[in-house]
Amino acid sequence: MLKLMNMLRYVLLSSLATILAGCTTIDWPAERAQAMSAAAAPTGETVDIAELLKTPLSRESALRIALVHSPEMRRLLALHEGELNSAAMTGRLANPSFSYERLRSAEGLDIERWISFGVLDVLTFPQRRRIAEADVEAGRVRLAADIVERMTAVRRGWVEAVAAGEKRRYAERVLASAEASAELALRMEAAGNFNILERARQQSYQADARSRVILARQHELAAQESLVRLLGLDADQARRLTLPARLPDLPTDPVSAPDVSRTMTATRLDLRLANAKWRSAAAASGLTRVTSLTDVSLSLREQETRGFEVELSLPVFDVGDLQRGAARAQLRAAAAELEQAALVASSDLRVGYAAYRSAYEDAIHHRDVLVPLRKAMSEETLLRYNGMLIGVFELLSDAREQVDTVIAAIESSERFWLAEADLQASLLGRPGVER
Amino acid sequence: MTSRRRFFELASLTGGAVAAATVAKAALAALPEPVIETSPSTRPPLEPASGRPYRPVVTLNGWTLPWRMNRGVKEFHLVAEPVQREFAPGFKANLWGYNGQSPGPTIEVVEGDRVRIFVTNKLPEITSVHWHGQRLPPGMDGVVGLSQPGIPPGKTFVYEFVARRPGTFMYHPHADEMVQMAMGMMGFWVTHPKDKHPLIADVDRDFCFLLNSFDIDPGSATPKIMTMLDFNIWSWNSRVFPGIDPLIVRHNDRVRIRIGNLTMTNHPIHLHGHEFLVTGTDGGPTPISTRQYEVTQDIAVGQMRQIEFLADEEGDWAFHCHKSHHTMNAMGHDVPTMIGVKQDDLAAKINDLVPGYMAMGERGMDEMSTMRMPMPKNTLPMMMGEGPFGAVGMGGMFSVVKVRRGQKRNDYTDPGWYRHPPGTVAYEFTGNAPSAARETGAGGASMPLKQPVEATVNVRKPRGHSGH
Repeated sequence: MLKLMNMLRYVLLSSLATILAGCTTIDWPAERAQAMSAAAAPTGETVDIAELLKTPLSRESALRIALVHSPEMRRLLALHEGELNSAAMTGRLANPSFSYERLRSAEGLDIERWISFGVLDVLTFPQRRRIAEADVEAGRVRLAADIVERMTAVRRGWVEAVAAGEKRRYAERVLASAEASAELALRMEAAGNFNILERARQQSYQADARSRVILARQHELAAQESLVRLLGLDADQARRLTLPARLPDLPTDPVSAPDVSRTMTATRLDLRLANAKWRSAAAASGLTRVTSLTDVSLSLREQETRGFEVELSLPVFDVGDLQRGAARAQLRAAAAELEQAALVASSDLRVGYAAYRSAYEDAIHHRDVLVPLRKAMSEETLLRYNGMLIGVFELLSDAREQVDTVIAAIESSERFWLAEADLQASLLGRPGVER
Repeated sequence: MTSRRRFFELASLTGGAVAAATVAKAALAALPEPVIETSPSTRPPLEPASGRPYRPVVTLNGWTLPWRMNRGVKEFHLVAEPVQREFAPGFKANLWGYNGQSPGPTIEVVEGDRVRIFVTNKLPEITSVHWHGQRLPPGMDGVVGLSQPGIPPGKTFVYEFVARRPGTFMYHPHADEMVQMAMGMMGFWVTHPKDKHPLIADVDRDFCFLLNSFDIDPGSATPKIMTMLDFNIWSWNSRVFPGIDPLIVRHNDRVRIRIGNLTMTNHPIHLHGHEFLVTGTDGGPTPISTRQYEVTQDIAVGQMRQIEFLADEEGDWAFHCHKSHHTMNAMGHDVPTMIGVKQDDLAAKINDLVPGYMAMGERGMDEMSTMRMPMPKNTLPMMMGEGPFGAVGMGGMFSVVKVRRGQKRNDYTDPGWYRHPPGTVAYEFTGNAPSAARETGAGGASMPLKQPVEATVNVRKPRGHSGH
């Protein structure tokens, strides 16, 4: 008996050593930090919201609040922590089972003790560990990708809210001048210099301008609230939230094509995920080759007689060919997926970069050509007014015509910063991630 | 002034591409050297160096073309070409003209002279010269297609005829004439009488100028050639006030002024301080019996008039077109009347969207003549001119006839502002008004007014701008 026990102990211990040596474990704080870094997220575990809200909120501050503070972000992290742990479980052995039987019969007391475990589990442990590692890696990538997605949403929300404010303020300036011209028209009518038609025409500009302001205010409010939700601000914090008066200046050296192609590496999230899936499928396929044939369990029995019991399922009816075929197909699918991921990643990058680049050129064109042209026209119009070549109403009507140019310029800048947010995600490989 | 090199410089200055037609030197060798004028100021009268003597005219802000005598024929050389003309300091226009200027030089001949005029075309299209009002062979009348083929760019044509009747004439193209005249191609022609003429008096000073008009968008420099009536530059010899020289006259001089109208509307020309007689029209001298004293003479489109007066009132006398918008420089056709409309308090609001905006016109437009604000480049203010008592507030077809006792015969130098004898200038009233003698017994209760008059009419100018 003792001899037997020793033998068994030896087997158990040796396999345990093997298991423990490469056992998959999850160090959550490290995983979290790693994912943040993979997502190129701003560092820092805490954020002083009250302090950040004292001044107009920059895009970076908005990101920090959203990543550290927002409940949505915390929910996301908790979900991923759970998923990673589940994935790691595959890499552990099923626990040995112990059974104890105590039967009283006519012949007396009959005690039977069994200790049993799946031998194949132990033998196939390296494969299982590989699967677990691949699954954990996939989980990690999904976590980083979700953070990237979150950051993109915050960046976009911030850009939209700032642009909406800019447009609202400009609409208000236009209204002020339209009010002045309507007032002037009323005075002209009172002095007998205008008829009702002329006066009404001037007043209708003011009415249009007011309608623009109402819409602009609503648009701004909606955009700000959408940012508030992304940041997870409560009502009081939302009240204190202020944003910069205008979008940042356009960058002097935008991301270039070589910069973009340098990011086409295996560290991209989409490629990492496809790779992890493939490795998981490959490991699973190796495992299936063994387990599809049979299952072996080893038991040690101690009764009045002692000895081993080996249970072996006979591959008579199910020789496992279906299981193996399925696994092989899954492996092929994963390999094809990896190949497709590389194609999609490079195509996505081209699309994203082209969108970014054309938005940049358009915004620069607005800034350097369209707005200066409009400005030159306004300056010349003022000179003509000075020379009594046109009247004040023509001058004001020209000023109103500036509106479309200015709004278009703000919108071109907005489109650029949205494209920039999308490109940042693209460079990290977020758009190619398949859920 | 007479340099040919200068002429080529000018041609290239006014657009090398336009002045594409260059003329071969060899072709020019047999021709009289073209004389080119580079200054827009009034040149002294050109005393005739050859031929019958006469008393030459003074072309306002212009000059007379010298000629050469060739076996008894007076030979002139006109060069049609792009030019740059200063209308007044601060405003230059790209025009087409003759021999460096628009209008071209005045041609002076004597009744009975045989005249040969070489016309060299340095324009990018054909041209011709019509000798407006002359008796001549139909083949010399200058109507392209009808009386001659057009003068191609780079070619020289010859016109030759006898100046048969004395009088005041003009010349201008009759090829693409709407465009070429809108670009400033025109000139004056005077045929002096051969002998004493019963209807043509000897005068001490004989001035001449053309009325012309242009449509030059403020800030630009080239006339709009398709404009029909809405011209914004009203000029005498392609000059506008204060760029037009004054007419300098000696006290008690007999003065003749010859005026030709090549604008697209009529001009009632008005002289202050004197009455004049219209002594000549398109057809020549007027019969004595038809002459009556006038202070304004309307000159219709395409017409010429010569007026004469005795300058017996000393002083600086305004002389101008009586259409008040013709004594203005470029102005807006659709500027609303702001009189009586307070704007200052709204200026701040408007300024927010239109930085640099200033309220104007609440008390009329006189402030425009003193305010100096930035304007489109190459554009004159609507109202200009500094006189001895302040801003004159004029532009366009306005000048001054200066009659002076001390002026020497044939001296055309500007004597400066007139010195008024004490007590002869309008002054501000500061005393108490003596009460007027009134009849108080009339009216009364016999015919009381039934209802008060309340209708008020606000006077404004008609908006349509056609029919100047």
